Amino acid sequence: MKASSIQNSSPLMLYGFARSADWSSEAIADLEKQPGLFGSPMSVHATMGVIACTELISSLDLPRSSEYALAYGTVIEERLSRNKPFIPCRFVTVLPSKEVLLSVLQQRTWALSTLLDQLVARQEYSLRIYWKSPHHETQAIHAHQGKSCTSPVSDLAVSKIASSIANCSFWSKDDSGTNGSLLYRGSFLIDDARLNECLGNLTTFQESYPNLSLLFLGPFPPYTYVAHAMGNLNTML
Amino acid sequence: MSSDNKILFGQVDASMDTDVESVASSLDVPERIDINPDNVEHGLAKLVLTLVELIRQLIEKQALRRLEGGSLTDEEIEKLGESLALLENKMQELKGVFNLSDEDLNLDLGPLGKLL
Repeated sequence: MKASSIQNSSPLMLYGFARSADWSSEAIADLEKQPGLFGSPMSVHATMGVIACTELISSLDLPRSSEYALAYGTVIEERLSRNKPFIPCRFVTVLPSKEVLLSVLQQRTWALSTLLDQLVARQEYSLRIYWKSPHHETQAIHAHQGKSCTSPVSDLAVSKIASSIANCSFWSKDDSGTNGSLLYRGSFLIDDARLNECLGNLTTFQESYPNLSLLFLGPFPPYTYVAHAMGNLNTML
Repeated sequence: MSSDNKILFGQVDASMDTDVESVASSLDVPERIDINPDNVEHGLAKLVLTLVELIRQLIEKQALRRLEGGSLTDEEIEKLGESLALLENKMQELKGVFNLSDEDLNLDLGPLGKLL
């Protein structure tokens, strides 16, 4: 069996997609020099302006521990998406061969290009709003109807703060899963040019509502936006 | 990805009570990374392969009945055996692709028990 046929029929782990225009040949060569998450060389496959970043894998039984998830996030963030539009795939997205990958790329180039264009000069952030109160009060609050329910004033403040950040955003989403003193969680895709405006608004709100703690985190690769924009990326693969 | 460099505004403090730990950990492993192994793709593959496996087992039982009933020629028996072996090999291959074991290929039908 020739080496090329081994390459074509070997399974690949797919990190995600980027625009060819954002990757110089030097940057690609640099990426391909270093091993990926599972120790094999990373490789880049290009089709009609879109590239897929992958790693050849020798076994389909890949570890899925939190340590690997952390390392996966680091590869995505530090080597693939820094200052460049990037569509991250789910942790351990495996395709059976390079041929399948190229077929996916060819069929989905338009959708991937459109999404990548939306990610130019935008990054994802997370806002969390907490109720600042002694622990026993928070417990009492959550005992009421089993959900965050502080006071009409606080609810209004949370709504105003979230709306203010959403108004600066290209896209936003209220996340579920509040608990303890956490009153609100949301994800936002924000234009780089409007980030300072968001930070200024948060400063103003923090001064106006001292009983709330605001936590603004990021930038993150656009995991939440991609999941929203393309449904579940894995289902299309 | 250190914890600190992800906080653009605010700080983790005691007011976050029970959530402090989860905030800290989510800064290290962004909770937005989709790491749920029981995902739609995996679930769908499991469902489809379970149904294919059910059909495969039914065909196998039917074939055995016909074999025992003596209604097949030697040539038909050979072809049938070959087809069933190929189908089983293909199932093994697909289970490998989707990282599923034999035990995974089953459906819990509640009070009716397991499908297979």
